[in-house]
Amino acid sequence: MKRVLFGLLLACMILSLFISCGKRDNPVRTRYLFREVWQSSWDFPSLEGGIDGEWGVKRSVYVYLPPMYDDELHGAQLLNEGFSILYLLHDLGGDFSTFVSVHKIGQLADRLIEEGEIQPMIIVMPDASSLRVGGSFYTNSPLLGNYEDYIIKELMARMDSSLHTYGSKPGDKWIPDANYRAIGGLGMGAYGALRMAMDYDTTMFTAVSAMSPFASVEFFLTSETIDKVFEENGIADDFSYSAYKTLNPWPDDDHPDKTYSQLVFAMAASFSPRSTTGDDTTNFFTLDVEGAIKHGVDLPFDETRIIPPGSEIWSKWLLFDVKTKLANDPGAFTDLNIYVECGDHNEFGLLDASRALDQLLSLYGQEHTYIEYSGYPNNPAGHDNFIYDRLEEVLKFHSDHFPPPAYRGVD
Amino acid sequence: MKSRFSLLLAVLFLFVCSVPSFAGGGFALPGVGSKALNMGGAFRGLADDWSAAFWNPAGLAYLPNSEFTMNLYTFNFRPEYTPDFTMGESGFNYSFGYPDETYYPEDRAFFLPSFSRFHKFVQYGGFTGGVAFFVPYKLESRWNLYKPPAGFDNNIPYPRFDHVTDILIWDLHPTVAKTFMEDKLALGLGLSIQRSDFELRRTVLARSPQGYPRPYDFFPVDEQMTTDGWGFGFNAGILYKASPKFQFGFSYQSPVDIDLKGNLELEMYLPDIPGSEIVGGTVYFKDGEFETTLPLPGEVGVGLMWRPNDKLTLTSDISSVNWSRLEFLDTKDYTLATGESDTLHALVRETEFPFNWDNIVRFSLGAEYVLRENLFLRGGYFFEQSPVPDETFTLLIPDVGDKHSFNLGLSYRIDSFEFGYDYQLVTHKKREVTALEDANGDGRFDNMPGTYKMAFHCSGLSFTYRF
Repeated sequence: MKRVLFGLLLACMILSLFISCGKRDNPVRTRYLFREVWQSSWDFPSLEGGIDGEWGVKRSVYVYLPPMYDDELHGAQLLNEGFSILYLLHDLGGDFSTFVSVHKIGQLADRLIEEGEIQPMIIVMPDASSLRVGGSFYTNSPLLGNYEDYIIKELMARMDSSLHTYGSKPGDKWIPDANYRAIGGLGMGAYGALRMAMDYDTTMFTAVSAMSPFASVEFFLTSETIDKVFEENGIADDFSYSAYKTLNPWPDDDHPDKTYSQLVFAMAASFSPRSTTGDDTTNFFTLDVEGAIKHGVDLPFDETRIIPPGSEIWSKWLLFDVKTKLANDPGAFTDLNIYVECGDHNEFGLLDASRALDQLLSLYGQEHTYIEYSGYPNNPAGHDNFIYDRLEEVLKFHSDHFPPPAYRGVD
Repeated sequence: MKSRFSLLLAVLFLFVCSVPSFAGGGFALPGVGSKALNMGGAFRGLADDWSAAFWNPAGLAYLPNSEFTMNLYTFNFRPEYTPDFTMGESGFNYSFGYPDETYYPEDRAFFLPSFSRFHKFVQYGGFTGGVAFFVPYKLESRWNLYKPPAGFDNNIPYPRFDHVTDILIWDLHPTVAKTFMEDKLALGLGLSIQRSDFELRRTVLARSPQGYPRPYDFFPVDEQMTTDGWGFGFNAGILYKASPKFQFGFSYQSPVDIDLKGNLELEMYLPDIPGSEIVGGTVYFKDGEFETTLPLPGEVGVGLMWRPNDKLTLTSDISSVNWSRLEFLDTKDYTLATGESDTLHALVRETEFPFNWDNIVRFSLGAEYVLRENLFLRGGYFFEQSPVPDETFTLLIPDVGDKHSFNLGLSYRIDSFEFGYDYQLVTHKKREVTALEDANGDGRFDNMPGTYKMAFHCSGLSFTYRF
């Protein structure tokens, strides 16, 4: 008996040695295939005639192509095959490169596709920046150029003819399939995406996503915002007309940060542009001079820093306002899939604007996804400091609302 | 007599429990000596072989012969870590380069020797003297863990092993012991001459200088401290034989301050942020020499031995280790090569490794059974707390939680020789660290949230020659 016990003890000890020495496998540290985002530039006639001149016509576009995209199929327009395509519109102050260089959308999409979190898709990031006022708000503006036409008519046609998107060919004409196309954006881009989605609905898109959208000018152009415009221009306490007329969107050594001024002037350039040969009227601000013609904008507020009741300029702004448009046309989004989100510490008042849009969509029974996200201690969720993380949710949303993949090689 | 003895025991017990904690935990090994480990470290009341130099030097006085001993141990640290390295509010969590998968360090076995030579000076009436060499502290692990977010790893790959611990402290321990009161009482005194090699490497997330957006809100800093140094201390013990069947021991190990001198390297990996002054894809490098003190704990313990019959010996110990001495390793005084004032430098200076450890208590039980005249079977168990609080808990020192140790071993005597084998399994209670914390308020996180598990295996061979 003692020998048996002794033998068992020895066996246990030897076994324990083997168990304790076993190698364990760590998760593989994946190096996702990163394909350089494709950049190209073209002349877009829609943008001719704007105050940005020649600079404004030639525009660069970044295009993310998924790893399984076959370059040889560029523009082949194969029937019943093709990738879904997302148009992602940048914010004011950014350009075509922002999502790629700052928010690393290329690496993000590669990883999500590799992990099976999203289906492969093409992501197109156009340029809608303005040399003079920072951004275009994606409108057709006689002052800046026809940015809506540039996106809807020219860029999309060029992408559909250049890239392997999904479509049909009932006759001689290739017709892209709107079910495989979506639009989204951040800030100014989110505004542009929502407005164009309302105007073109399911005839052009299957889904729209809006990250911190300028969804309502009422919630943006508050008395606090107007005061900040004056502060940025160094006339915080001066209520005179002459001081008011010195407002401008251009940073200088004394006033290096003019974020709010740029936003207001960019909106004005998009919503209430005007050219005149006469004297400056009360609310007119010249941005460019061409011979005897002054090109500029009308601001909706005056030197008393209020928007006068019944302001015609303000009425023009409201014509472009997403919330107002939706209130006037409850079915504007028809069957579009809608995603709206905003950080809970948005510094431009966009949280209230997003909530108002959410409530209106709910009131009209429009199905949509609405998210208010927060940050973490000492880093609250502002306008654009969590875009790196939020893009992941946006891409998942679009992936969920595109039809199943239909490209060569897919199961 | 009996009541006095009980009173003495009670006083000692209270003393042990009240002394700011000591013996094991942290990066300390569970003990030394094959027989003592077999019996779960419940050895202060028995202390009848060379390892008494560590447990209770008074026991050396009762060695029946002079002896020479060699031990060889193999250790396997088996930690595992599943990061939950996120911060957020209202259900929105943001990750910081630690994927939430289960990770292991590079699995390796470590071999450590110990040996001793003690001489019985019969002519001096029970005086024993000699020297022991053993390793009381050892920890080594290398983790491939941190994965830089997109934008940080564009040009220079992040180091493969980003969290590394390499601690080895050995102790050269000259010891003397002598009996008194007709061999009923023994006193022992030892000198600890400790040599330390101490290396820590970790990834520190430094808040970016100008509030850059995610994922540039933190820049990873690869921090590597490589030091070595010497320290001195002592231990002392009492062993009292109340009767042939009953004895008790008390021992004290003084705290030891190791004077470390070495090098600190800091490499901050910089992202490519358009429009910023930072040169993306580069590494901001600083290094310098520094001196600091590693305060190792003292320990106090008391042990009992009861021999109910000729074949069976039972032992029990309780001890306390004052790990609270280890608050932080200060590297603030290190001298840098260049650039004292720029923005990036502000992120990599004023470095300190915070510990803020707690005192711990250990409770041990042991048994020896004489299977045959020359064959001894031993078993033991101990329970020990972890000194590491959540606020500074990282995988660098994976003393995960309350420990249960199960020990088994045997030895076989042939004439003047004795051969032994022992095996020890230490299981830790799972630990879940739930929140990122900045323990010293320097703007950097000092712990690593997630779920930790740990097991420790040790087996050893021993050889003793008595003459």
